[in-house]
Amino acid sequence: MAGDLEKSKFLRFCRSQNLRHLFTEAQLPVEILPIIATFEKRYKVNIRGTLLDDAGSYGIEQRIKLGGKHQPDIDGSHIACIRDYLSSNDNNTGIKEFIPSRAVVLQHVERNGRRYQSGGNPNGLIIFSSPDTTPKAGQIVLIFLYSSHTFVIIRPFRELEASYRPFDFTLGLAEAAGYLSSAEVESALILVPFTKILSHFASISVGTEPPLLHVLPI
Amino acid sequence: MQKRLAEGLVDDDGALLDHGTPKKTNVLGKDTLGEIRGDMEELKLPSWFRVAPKHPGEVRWGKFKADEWKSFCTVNLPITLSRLWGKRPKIDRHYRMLDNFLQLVTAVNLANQRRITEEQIIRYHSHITTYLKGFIDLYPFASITPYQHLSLHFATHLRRWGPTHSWRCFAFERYNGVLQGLPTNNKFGQ
Repeated sequence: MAGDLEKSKFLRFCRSQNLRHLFTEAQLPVEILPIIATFEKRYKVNIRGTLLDDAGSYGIEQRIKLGGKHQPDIDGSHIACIRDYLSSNDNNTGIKEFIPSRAVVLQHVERNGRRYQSGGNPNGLIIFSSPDTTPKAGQIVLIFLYSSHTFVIIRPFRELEASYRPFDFTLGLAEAAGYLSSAEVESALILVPFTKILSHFASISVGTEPPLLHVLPI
Repeated sequence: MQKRLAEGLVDDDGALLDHGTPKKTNVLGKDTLGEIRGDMEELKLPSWFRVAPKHPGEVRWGKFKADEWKSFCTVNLPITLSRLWGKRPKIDRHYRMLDNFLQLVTAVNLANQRRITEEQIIRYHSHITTYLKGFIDLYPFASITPYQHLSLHFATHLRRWGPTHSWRCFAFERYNGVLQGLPTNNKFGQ
């Protein structure tokens, strides 16, 4: 018995890692695609609240800090194609049909014990960093796995117009008190790598004319 | 110090003079707590977030746990108090109380980061110092507690040992909770 457990674990670990590597291959036959979701579910490890979880969070934040040095190649042909589609279609209907056939749509993603979800769920209300603007609030519309990287399609909330600034009672201390945002969303969607999501936010409606949202990143 | 001396709270050496036990005053009050409860019902929060008890300030809802205090003070209070007091004139006492409290919240948020930089440590120290100075000014009859004093040394600890999650006592507190939950009546299974 001695030593068998270690050997068994080692073999299973190698097998899972080999498969994970295989699944990232670009020339993977289409027939294998349905297996990937099952594989990810089977080998998903719950590391919430552990030292490994903390180590993982360091890694994610480090990649953000490096300014995209280790970011997935979002200018790959398929991804660039989606971006073109999003920027040229205001209503963005049928987006699911437009993502690459090899992409796997995910119902939710867990990172560092936090669950990110598409749809109108509060788990889908996030603050994300955008290459051309300061961090802003948005709703997750779709999460998908493509070429071993996770991407998110987000519908941002509208910026608060300057004329509504007098409504802002958060003292300019956004870090502690949050800030006011328009409760209306943009029609255009944005595609970003998952690593661009910074946090969730707490929100409460604070007015109907104009519809405003008090946003507090958490 | 000068203000406290002028108000007869301390002697020339800075020692607090005994005026008997001051009457406890309410900072929030029933109306404000009612607004906080109302906002708690409307607030949208992600599922992983530890929400504070829905009836803060009521004895029957028991004591808050540390994580619940953190939620209540860093999310619920800033959202409601900034709505209620943030629109008042800057010289208004409630506005100054809110500004002072948000200094504390900013310091706590900075101290709870999973990554911490020298710039963030400097900011933490600046906010906690501003908070404590404002605290003495706003609440002259209150004393600085040992924990508030220790918070001024916290920047040194952050420099020495890094982000708090690797050395804070939440894990030990959790075990205290587990031990407290163990039956001690010497009856098997009860």
